[in-house]
Amino acid sequence: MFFFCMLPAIQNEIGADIAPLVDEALLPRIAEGDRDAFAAFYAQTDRAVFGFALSILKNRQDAEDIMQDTYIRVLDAAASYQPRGKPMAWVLAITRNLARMRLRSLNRSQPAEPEELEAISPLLDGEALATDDRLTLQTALAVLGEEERQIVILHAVSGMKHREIAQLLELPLPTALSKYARALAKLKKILNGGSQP
Amino acid sequence: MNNRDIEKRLSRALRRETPDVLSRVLSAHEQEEKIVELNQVQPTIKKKRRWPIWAASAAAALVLTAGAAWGLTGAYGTDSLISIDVNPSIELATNRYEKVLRVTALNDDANQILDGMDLKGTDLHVAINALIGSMVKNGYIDDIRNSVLVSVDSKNTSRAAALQDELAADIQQALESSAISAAVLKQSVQEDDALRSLAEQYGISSGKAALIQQLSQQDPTLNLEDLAAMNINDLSLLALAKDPDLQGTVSGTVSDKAYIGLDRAREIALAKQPGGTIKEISFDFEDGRAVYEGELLHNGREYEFDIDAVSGDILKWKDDGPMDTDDQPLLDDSSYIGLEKAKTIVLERLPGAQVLELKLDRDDGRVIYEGEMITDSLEVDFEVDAVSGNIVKWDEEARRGQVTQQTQSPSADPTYLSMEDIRSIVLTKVPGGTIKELEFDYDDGMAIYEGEVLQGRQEVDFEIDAVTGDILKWEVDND
Repeated sequence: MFFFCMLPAIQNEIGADIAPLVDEALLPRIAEGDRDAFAAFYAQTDRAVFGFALSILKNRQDAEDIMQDTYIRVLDAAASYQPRGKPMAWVLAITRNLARMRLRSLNRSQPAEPEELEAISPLLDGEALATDDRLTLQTALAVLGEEERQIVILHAVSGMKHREIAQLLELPLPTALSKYARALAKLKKILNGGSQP
Repeated sequence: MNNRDIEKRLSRALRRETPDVLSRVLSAHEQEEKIVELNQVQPTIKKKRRWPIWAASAAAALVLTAGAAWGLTGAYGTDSLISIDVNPSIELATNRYEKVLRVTALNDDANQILDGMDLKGTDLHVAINALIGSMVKNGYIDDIRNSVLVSVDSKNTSRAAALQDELAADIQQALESSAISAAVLKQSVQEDDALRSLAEQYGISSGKAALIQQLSQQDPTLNLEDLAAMNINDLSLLALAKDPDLQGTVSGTVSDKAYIGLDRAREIALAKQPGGTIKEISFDFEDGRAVYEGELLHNGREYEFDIDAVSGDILKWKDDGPMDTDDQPLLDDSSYIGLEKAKTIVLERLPGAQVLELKLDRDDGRVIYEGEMITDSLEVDFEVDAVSGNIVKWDEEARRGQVTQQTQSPSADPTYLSMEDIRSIVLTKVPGGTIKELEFDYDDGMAIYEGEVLQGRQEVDFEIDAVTGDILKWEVDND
């Protein structure tokens, strides 16, 4: 009990790099129309939802649309949520389905290719965005393969374990782990070496 | 820079970049609800011209009903959920005055059907008429595919039954005017979480989900994914083939005009083996393909066949061996090991499986028990020698579309990888290696797995992070 009360405080202290815990108990309240519960759930999941959508679609506008659709779906579907201790995996599965549908309707099995990197750049123009952070995200979107991107971004922002990520992406765990390792090695090489392949 | 630094950077970058759509989501959602209310006061029909007949009747009905619905208690509450499936799947929520509160397109085909129609606030029967008309117009219902599934979910069961009949009559009448004799499959559905998640998983209505769930319970070899992809006409044919009693819930005759038909399939089988007698023949789906499967007897031999229901090609023709005309002994298994013993033998080989079929039969003169059993992941065809009890055939096949079962973590905490996960990580690194030791431990408060694997003659001590699966230590022991 005491331990759980401490957690939020610890998180604030460490900073924003820890994904917040998602409170499963919010979902039944959302189903009853409780707006505060929805706002809290939104705050706990928005970065992961947007990041995941972006990692699939590689386009800011599409990712934002899917994010919006995801939460509308959450409002409609909260009543059918089955508490299994995985609210994050649940909301991200919604995002995954919507994003994949969007990809299909865009009639491209593959998301934007590197030449569309230009289209991503505006999202990274924010002055406040520290150069290093910006470069890292930009590089990840540009050089990683589709699944590598999704795995790395999910691991960075969703707070989910590799096993859950593998499940969400419908990959065998060893595949997810080796893709993760390969992706980070690639990023390290580029970011430390300072040159793009 | 290490992995954690990179992830921190990504996380920070995304925190800054994540847009705030909260208020937009809330207002979009509110809007959705308002539209329902508004439409009860001021119903509008968009794109009137595209829907000359149905739109006009819908508009006329609205003028009469709009005032009545307004202001009465219960007008906004959902009383019944009705789904109409052909291939387009559409769900309608109605209040207890049979006014449509909400129409939801559940698949792309349904979007095409609903395009430009605004049925909120209309009378349910008018709405059904419009939807069916649009389906005919868009080519989803014709003489070849004439089946419609109507599912009603209402707390009031007698009401649900009455609604089904009314709607079936509406649909048949609407199709009659297009010179199509329809078949309407009716069912009551009580939506629960399992059904809802099945429906969501495959993007189908809960009505269609209920139908395929029932089918797969009847015949567990049918694959849910294949079933979900089938249109209602095929599902109806299949359902009726599996359970002729269902005929009672169908108004009209399900068309099999897309297929060669039972009679033609009989002819094909008899042409292959002139002089034979068809023992049984029925419609079925094998690996997503429509077939007529059956058995034919000729000169004391028994043949099993599958005929492609579209092309009439013979896909399978198996000589099951002699069938003694005086094969009474087959009915009496006292001279053999017995069904129960045969079952015990196969269950010893695959504990926990479910035996779906088991019968005494002859195969090339030998008496056997042949049958089929399944687990969550496997489907096994087997034959057991009826005299010796030896397993003489054992064909294992992975069940398609089944989710492989999750291995249980040794620790109760689901955030840790399981032993099996660790094994696969280690064996990916050392293909063919032998894991000698593996245990879960805490090292400076960090959850790890530690163990030993034999790599050829070398022994490797390893430690693996129990959360991330990262290999923390990999030391070749040269002693």
